[in-house]
Amino acid sequence: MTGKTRNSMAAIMTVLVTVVMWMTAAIGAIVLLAGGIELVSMLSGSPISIGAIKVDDHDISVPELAAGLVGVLVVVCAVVFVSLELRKILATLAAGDPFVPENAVRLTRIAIAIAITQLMRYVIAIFVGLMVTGTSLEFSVDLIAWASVAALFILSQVFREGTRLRDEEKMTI
Amino acid sequence: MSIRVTLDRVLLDRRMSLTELSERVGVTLANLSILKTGKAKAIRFSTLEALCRELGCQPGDILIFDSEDDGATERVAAE
Repeated sequence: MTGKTRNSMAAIMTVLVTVVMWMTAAIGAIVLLAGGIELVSMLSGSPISIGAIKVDDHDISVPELAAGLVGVLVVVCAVVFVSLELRKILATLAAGDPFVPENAVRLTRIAIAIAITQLMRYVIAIFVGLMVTGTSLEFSVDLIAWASVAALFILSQVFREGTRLRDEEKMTI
Repeated sequence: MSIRVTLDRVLLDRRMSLTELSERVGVTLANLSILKTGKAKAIRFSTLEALCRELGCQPGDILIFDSEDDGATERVAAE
């Protein structure tokens, strides 16, 4: 891969990651705003009117909605965080030297972010199961997500060792 | 690191400059400077061979093991 191809690849990927990040943030903000209004309406017990929109029809319980909003917040935060880390990795790729120790740390952070997101899913599922009567505890394990976490941890270790070896090679006379 | 490079002393004995040695052994001045200042992490057998040939010395004349020196010198991994 030539330097020019590598740079254009990094530029395209950066644009894609940035678009995904902003779209997720925008959709997340809208969902959180709408959910927040619904939550306030449910807690106050009175319908809320915003222009032509009137919020008075509640088909889920307060704990379910609160848990859902927390879930959305966690996912949005994770996507934004992962996107920012990916952008930093892509910046090093565009600069022509992605094999730096910082990228190993960034991959570990991404793995931790995905793991936290998955753990939060379980916490929310348990919370809803305990708080909402008549709801069975639905507990599913996302094997692909956990496989990604494992792969990222391994990749970060490979990166760390690779950068160490390269540094040693650079300082071999 | 317990291995010290005494290239500067050998060069002084031979009255040879680092630039001249660089031209003779075919190693860049920057890399020889890294070696001389103890920043190198390893030295290739081929580099060591060229240095010994051009300086007319033994590897032990350039490299010294000093067990009391655990500071800023270089590790030598002969390849």
